[in-house]
Amino acid sequence: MPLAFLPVIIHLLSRFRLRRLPFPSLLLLQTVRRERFSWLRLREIVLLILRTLALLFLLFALSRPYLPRLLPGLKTEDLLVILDDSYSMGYGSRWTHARLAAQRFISAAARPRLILASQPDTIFTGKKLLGNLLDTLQPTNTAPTLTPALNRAFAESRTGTPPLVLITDLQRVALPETGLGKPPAPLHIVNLGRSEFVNAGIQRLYLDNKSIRAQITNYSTRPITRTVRLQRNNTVEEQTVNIAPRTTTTVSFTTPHTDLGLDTGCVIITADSLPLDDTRYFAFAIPTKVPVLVVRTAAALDRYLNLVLAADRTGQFLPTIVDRAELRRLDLRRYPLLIITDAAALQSGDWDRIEFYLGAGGAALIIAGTPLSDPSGLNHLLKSQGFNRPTGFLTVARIDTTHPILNIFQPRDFSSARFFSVNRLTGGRNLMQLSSGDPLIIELPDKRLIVWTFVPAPSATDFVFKAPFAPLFIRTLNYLTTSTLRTEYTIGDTIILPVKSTAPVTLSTPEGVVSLSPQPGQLRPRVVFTAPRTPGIYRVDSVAVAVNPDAREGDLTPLPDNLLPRIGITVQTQALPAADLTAPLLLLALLAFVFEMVILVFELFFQKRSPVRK
Amino acid sequence: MLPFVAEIMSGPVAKCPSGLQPYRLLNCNVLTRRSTDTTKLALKPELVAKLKGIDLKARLVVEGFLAGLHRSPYKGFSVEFTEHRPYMPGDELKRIDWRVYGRTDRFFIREFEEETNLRAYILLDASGSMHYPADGITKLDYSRWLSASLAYLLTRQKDSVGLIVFTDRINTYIPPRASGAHLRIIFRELENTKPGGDTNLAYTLHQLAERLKRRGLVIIISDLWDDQTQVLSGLRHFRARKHELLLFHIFHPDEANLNFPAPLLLRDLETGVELTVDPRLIKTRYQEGFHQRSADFKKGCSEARIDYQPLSLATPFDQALLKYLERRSRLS
Repeated sequence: MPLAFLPVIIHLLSRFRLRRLPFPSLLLLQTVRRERFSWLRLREIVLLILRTLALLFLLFALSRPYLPRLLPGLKTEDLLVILDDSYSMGYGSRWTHARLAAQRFISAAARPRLILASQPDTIFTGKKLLGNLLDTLQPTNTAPTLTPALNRAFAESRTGTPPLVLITDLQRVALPETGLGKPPAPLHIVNLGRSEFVNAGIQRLYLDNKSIRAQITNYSTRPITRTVRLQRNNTVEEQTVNIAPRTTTTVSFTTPHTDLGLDTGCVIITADSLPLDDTRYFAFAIPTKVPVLVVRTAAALDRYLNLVLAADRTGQFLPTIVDRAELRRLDLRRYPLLIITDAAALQSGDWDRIEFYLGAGGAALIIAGTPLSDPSGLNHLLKSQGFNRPTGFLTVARIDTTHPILNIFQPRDFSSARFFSVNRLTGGRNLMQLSSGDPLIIELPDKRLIVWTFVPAPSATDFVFKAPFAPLFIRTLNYLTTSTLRTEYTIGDTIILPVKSTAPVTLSTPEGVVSLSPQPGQLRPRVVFTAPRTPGIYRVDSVAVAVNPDAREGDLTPLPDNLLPRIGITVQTQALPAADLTAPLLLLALLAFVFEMVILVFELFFQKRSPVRK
Repeated sequence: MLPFVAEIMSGPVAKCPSGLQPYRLLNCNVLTRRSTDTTKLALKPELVAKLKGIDLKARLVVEGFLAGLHRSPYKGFSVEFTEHRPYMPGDELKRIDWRVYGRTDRFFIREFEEETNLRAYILLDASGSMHYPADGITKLDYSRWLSASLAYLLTRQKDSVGLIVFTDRINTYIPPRASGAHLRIIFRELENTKPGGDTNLAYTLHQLAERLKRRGLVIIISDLWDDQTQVLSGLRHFRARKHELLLFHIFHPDEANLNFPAPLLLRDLETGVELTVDPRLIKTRYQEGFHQRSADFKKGCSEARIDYQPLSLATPFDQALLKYLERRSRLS
C-alpha cells in the first residue's frame, strides 16, 4: 500500500521540478485563470488519479486477489464450527476469508459453537463472545493437525448431532489418513486452499564443518528464486538460491563458525509469501575443550575410536587414554566424559566407581559389545539377553531420528552397515535397532549414559568403515558432554534448561522477560518453560535455545481429492467459490496507463501545433 | 556635441563637468559613434545601467536628451528678458520679436529668465512588485533612474522638486526644493531605495493627495498593480486638489506578453502566493487583459485630464522626458 503513494510523491516532486519564477503580481493572472477553463490543473489531477489508479491496480493484481462469494449460512439451531488457525492460514487472504466464512455461519445459527484447531480442548460458545473472538483472532504460530479438533467435534456432535463446519485450507499435512473417526453428522468443509501457491520455507539449520547450512524447500510447483540471509551476531550474509519445484536445496553460508560456546542467530528467506516459515532461529552450542578419559583394555577395541578423536576437526575433545588398571587411581570427576572401550573387562569395583561417577553428574559412553564377565555392574541398569552372533549379519532396521544424536541422520545412512555380533541388552531408550530387533544404541533414563551393544572393530562390524560412524561417535560425545545439547524446540514444546542453582532465574523470550523458579532435576536443577508461543531465542544466563514453528506447516499442498472420501468424510461443500481478480485488475492498470499516454501524446501534439517564442 | 558627452567619448576615465566625483565608463565601445547615435544610446536603459552612481545616470540621460533636442524650443519660459537669438523652425511665432524684425528684417526670438515657481513631486512606487526581473535591470532601477533624470532636469530648469517613496505606506518624503544640494539628497535617497512590502497604491494616493497642500506637478512612477478603479479614484483625488498629474506606468515586457515557454510556478513578489500556470494556454487571454487594463488606465486618465505614459523597461528615457516637457510647456 505505501507504494500507492508513489504517484502522489512523484506528482509533488514534479511540482517542485516546475520552474519557479517570481512575478510582479498575480492579480491579472488569477482573473484570467478564473475566466478560462483551467486545463493545467485538470491535467495534473487527471494524471495523478490515473497514475495512482494504475499503480494500485497493479499492486492489487500482484497480490493475486480473488472475490469471495459468501456461502449461505446453514439454517440450523445448533452449529459447530471448527476453524483451522494454523499458521498456513496466514497465506494470502485465506485468514480474512476464513473469518468471514466463520462469522457468516455463526450469525446464521441460533446456538453456534466454535473449536479452534490450536485449542481442541476448548469449545467457545455464545454469539457475542464468538463475534468478539473472531474480530481479534489471528492465525497462531502453531502447526496443529486437524485430527484432535475434528475428533473433539465428532465427540461433541454425537450428543445432539449438530451439523459440523470445518473451515480450513485442507493441507495434506494437516489431515492424516489414520486416526480420524467417521463424522457422526454432516460435515461441511469450506476449503480455502488452492493447488496454485508459491511458498518456500526453511526446513532445518545445522552446523557442518563449522559452516552453517540451511535446507530450503520449495513447496510449490514452479521454480523459484529466493534470497537467503544469515544474521549472526553482527554479521549478515546473503545468498541467492534457485530452487526447483517441490525440492529441497541446501544453502551453505561461508561465514565461518569458529566460536566455541553458544552461537545464536537466524536465517531468513526474504520476499516470500508465508512469513512464519521464512525465519528460522538457531542456537548452536559448541563446547569448549572437554577432557575425555578413554579406558582401554585392548588396543584393537579403541583403535577406531581414537582415530576418530584424532581426526575430529573441531578439536573439542582432549582425550586421556589409560588402561583399566589405572581407573581406580584416577579421580574421575576431573573428566566430564568417560569412555569405556570394553565393558566386559571391568570389574565390580570399577562398576561401583563408574556408578558413583555417573551419580555425581558424570557422563559415560560404555561399549558393551562383548559378553560381560561381570554382568552385575550393568544388571540394575540393563538386562542382558545373551549374545547374538547370527550366521549372516544384521543391519540397522530403525533409528530414532527425534533423538539429538540421530536427528541429522536418515535410516538409509546406516543401511549398508553390517553387524556380525551384538550384545543383547534391553532397557532404557532404544535409539537404534537392528533387523533382529536387538537394540544397537541404548540411552539410560535419567543418566548421562549411552551404551553401545556392538564392538567398534572390524571383527564385529564394518560400521567403523562407514561414513556415519565418525559423526555418530562425535555426536554421542557431544550429547554426553553438553548439558543442553537440545537447543532447538518447536512452538508448543516444553523447554528444559539446566541452571547452576535453585535460585530464581530470568528467562528472556521474544515476548519479554519471565521469572522462573528452577525445579530440582535428576542431576542438576533445571527450569521448565511450557508451550512457547513465539519463535525466537529463549535465553537463561549463558544458555540459549531456539524456538521455531513446525516447518512442515509451510507445505501448502492441498489434500488429494479422493482422500476425504477414503477416510470416511463425505464432503458437503467442497470449496469456497472464488473469482480471480488478477486479470481484470491488470487490464484496469493497463487502461489507466494507456489513458495517461493518450493525454501525454495529445499534449505533445498540441504543443507542436502551437510553438511558443522563447 | 555637449561637453559632457564629449568627455565620455574622450576616454574611459573622465571628469564630471560640474566638478562632481570622477566616474569610470564601463563600456566605451558603445559610445565610440557619431554624436547622434551617441545621444540615442545614452538614453537607453541598458547603457545607463553600466554607469556608476545615480547622479551620473541622471546627467547622462538629461544631457543626452537635451543634446538630441538641439536648440530645443523648450528652453525656458520666463517673464524677465535675457537675450535675443535667431529664429529656428519650430519656435512659436508669438515669441518673435517683431520690433527687431522691423529694424533688422530678420527674425529673432526673445528669451527670458526661467521661472522657478513650478513645484514638482516625484512619487516613486518601491513595492515588492517593482523588483522584477530578478536579474538585470528591474522596474525599480528603471524608475529610480527615471526619477533621478526628472529631478535633475527639473532642478536644471530651476524648478523645485521633491521625492516621495512609497510602498503600502509613505516611506520617504523629501519636500520640494530647487538647490543642487537638495538634488544630491534626492539622489542619495534614490540610491538607497530598496524594494519591499505590498502595494496599496490607491490608499497611498489618497493619503498623499491630502498631504500635498500646495498644488504642483505630481509625477507618479509605478507599475500600478492594484485595483484599477481605486487607483483611478486616487488619481482623481489629486486632480480634485488642483494638482497636475503625470503618470508613468512601468512594466516589463514579460508582464505584458507572458512570454514563457513552459508551465511554471509563478510566485507573487508581494503576497508570496504561488500559482501554477501554463503560459501557452492563457497567453493570448492574458495579453488581451493586460492591454485592456492599460487602455482602461489611459481612458480613465484622459477623462481626468491626467497624462498617462506606459513605459516598458526597453523604452529609452527620452520618451518619458519628452512627456514631462510637454506637460511642463502646457503648464507654462
